[in-house]
Amino acid sequence: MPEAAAVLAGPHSEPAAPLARVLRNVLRFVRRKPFGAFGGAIIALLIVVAAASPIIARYDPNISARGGRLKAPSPAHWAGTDNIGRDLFSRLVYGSRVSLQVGAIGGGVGITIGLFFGLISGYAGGLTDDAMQRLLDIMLAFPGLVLALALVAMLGASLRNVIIAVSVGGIPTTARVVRSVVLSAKQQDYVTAARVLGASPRRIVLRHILPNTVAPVIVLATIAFGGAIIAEASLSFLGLGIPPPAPSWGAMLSGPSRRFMTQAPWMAAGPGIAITAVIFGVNIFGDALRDVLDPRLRTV
Amino acid sequence: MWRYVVRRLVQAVPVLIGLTLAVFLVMRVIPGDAATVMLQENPTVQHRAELRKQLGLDRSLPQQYLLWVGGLVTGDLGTSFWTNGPVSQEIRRTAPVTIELALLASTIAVVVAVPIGIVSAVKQDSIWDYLGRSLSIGALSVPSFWLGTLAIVLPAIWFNWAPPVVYRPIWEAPLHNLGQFWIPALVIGVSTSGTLMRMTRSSLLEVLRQDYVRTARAKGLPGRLVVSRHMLRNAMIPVITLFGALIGALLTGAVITETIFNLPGFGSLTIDAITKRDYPQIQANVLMFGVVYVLVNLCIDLSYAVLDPRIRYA
Repeated sequence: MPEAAAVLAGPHSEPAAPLARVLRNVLRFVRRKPFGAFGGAIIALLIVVAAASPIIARYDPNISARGGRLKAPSPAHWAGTDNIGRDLFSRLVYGSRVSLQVGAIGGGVGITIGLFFGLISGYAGGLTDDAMQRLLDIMLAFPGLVLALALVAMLGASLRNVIIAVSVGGIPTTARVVRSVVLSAKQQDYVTAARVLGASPRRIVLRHILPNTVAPVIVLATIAFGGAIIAEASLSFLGLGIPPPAPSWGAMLSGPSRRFMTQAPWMAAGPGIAITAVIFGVNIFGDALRDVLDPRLRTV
Repeated sequence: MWRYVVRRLVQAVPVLIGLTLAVFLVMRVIPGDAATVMLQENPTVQHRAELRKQLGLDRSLPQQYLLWVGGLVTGDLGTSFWTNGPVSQEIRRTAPVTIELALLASTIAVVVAVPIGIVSAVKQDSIWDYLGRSLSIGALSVPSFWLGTLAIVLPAIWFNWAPPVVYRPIWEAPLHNLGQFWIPALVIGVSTSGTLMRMTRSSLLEVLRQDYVRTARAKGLPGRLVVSRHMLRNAMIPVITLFGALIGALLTGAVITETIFNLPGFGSLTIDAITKRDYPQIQANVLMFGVVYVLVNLCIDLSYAVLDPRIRYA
C-alpha cells in the first residue's frame, strides 16, 4: 500500500531532485532486497573497475613484467604472474572491460532484437506471427554453441565478432516471452480504447504495449548478460574466443592456464572467481528485480 | 490426443526443413572446406580440385543441398568426408555416451534442484532460502569447463586419483563406466540445477496463494501433503517446460565436458566435424539434435495433460 500512496501523492508532492529520487529508490531496494542489492553492488564494482582500469592496474596487462613467469601471488603481483610473466591482477582488471562489453552489448543486442521480434509477432498475429514463430523454432532447434562457433568461424575471431556470436543466444527466449506479454496486453480494455480512438498500430505498440514488457525484459537482460559472458568463455575454451593478447577472462581461464593447472593454479583461480562472482551477482540482482518489478509476484 | 500429436508432428516438418537449410548455408559460408583441411594435414595427397570433385564440393550449392535432402527422404543421412562411412554410424557410436551423460546429469539436476526449490519457496526469505539460492545460483555461475578441470586436477593432487580415461560402454563394464561418468555428469547436473531450482521456487511461490492451497490447509491436511499433492503438481508445469529448453544447455555442457573428460560423445563428434569441415556429419548431427529437440518438447507438452487434468488436447 505505501507504494500506491506514493504513486497517488506523486504529482502533488514537492518535485524532488531526480538524483535524490533515484537515491531514495535505491535505498528502498537495498532495504527490501539486501541479497539482490549485494548482487547490484557486484555489478557496480565491475563497472567501476572497468572504467578505472588504468588507475587500478599496476602493470601493463599485455607486457611481461620483470618479476618472472608463473610466480605465485605476492605483494608485487597480487594475483601472481602467468606463463609469460604478465601480471595477472592487471589482466584481471582490464579483463573486466572485455566481460562488461560482452555481457552488456552481447546480451543487450540479443534482447533488443528479441524484443522487436516479440512485439511484431505478438501484435501482428496471423500469418506474420506463424512465420516468425517457426523461424524462432528453427533457432531454438539449432544447438546454440554450434551456431556461435560457426558464426565466429565465419566472421573471424575478434572481440566484435564474438559479441555478435554470443548475442544470438538471447533472441528466441526474449521473443517468446515478449510475445506472450503482448498477446495478453492486446486483450486489455485500454488497448481497445486506444484503437477505437484511432491510434496507429505503431503508437499502440510503443505507447501502450511496450511498457508491459519492461519487467520481464529487465529480468531477461540480467540472464542474457550472464549467458553472454559464459558463452564467451565457452568459445574461448573451444579455441574460437577473443584472440590473444586481449585480456579476456574466458581466454585467461581456458588457454594456457589449463596446461599449468597443477604448477600455477592461481592462473585459473582469478578469472574463474571473477566470472563466477559477476554471474552470481547478475543473477541474484535479476531475481530481486523481478520480485520488485513483477506486480504479480509483489504480493507473494 | 492423437490428432494433436499428428498436428504437432506436421508442424515440425517446416521447422526441420528450415533447419536443414540453415545448417547447410551456415556451414558453406564458413571459410575453408574439407578439401582445404585435408590438404593442410597431408599436402602431398592430391590436387585440390580433384579432391573437391571427389567430395562433391564442385557441384553448385542448390545441387549439393538437393542431393543431401534427397538422401534424407530415403533415410540416408549422408557419407562422412573423413571416414567415408555413413554418418549415421558415427552418430550411433557416439549417441550412447551423450544420452547416458544427459540422463545422469538431468537426474542429478532434478534431485538437487527440486528439494532446494521447495524449501526455498516454503521458507521464503529465511536463512534456508538464502542458503539454498546462494548454492544453486553459485553452481550456475561457475563456468562448467573450469569446474570440470578442477574436478580432474584437484583429486589428482589431493588423493592421487584420476577418473578412468578409456571409455567403455555401460553394458560392458558398468562400474568402470560409472566411475568415468559420475564426475562429468555431476558437473553438468550441478550447473543445470541452478536454473531448475529458481524456476521451482518461483512457480511454487505463485501457487502458494491459490485458493485450493488454502482449502487444502483449511481442511486440516498436513503441510507436507499440501506441498507434495496439491502444490507441486501445478508448480511442476513451468519447471518441466524449462527442462525442454534446457536440452540445448545439456548438449552444450556435453560438448565441453566430453572434451575435458575425453569421452567419445555426440558433442565432441560435432565439434570435431566443424573443425574438419565434415559437412555431411555436421548437417546430420544438427538435424538429429533438432529432431530430438522437437520430440522432447512434444512429450513435455503432452505431459501437461497428465499433470493438470484441466488441460486437454483435442
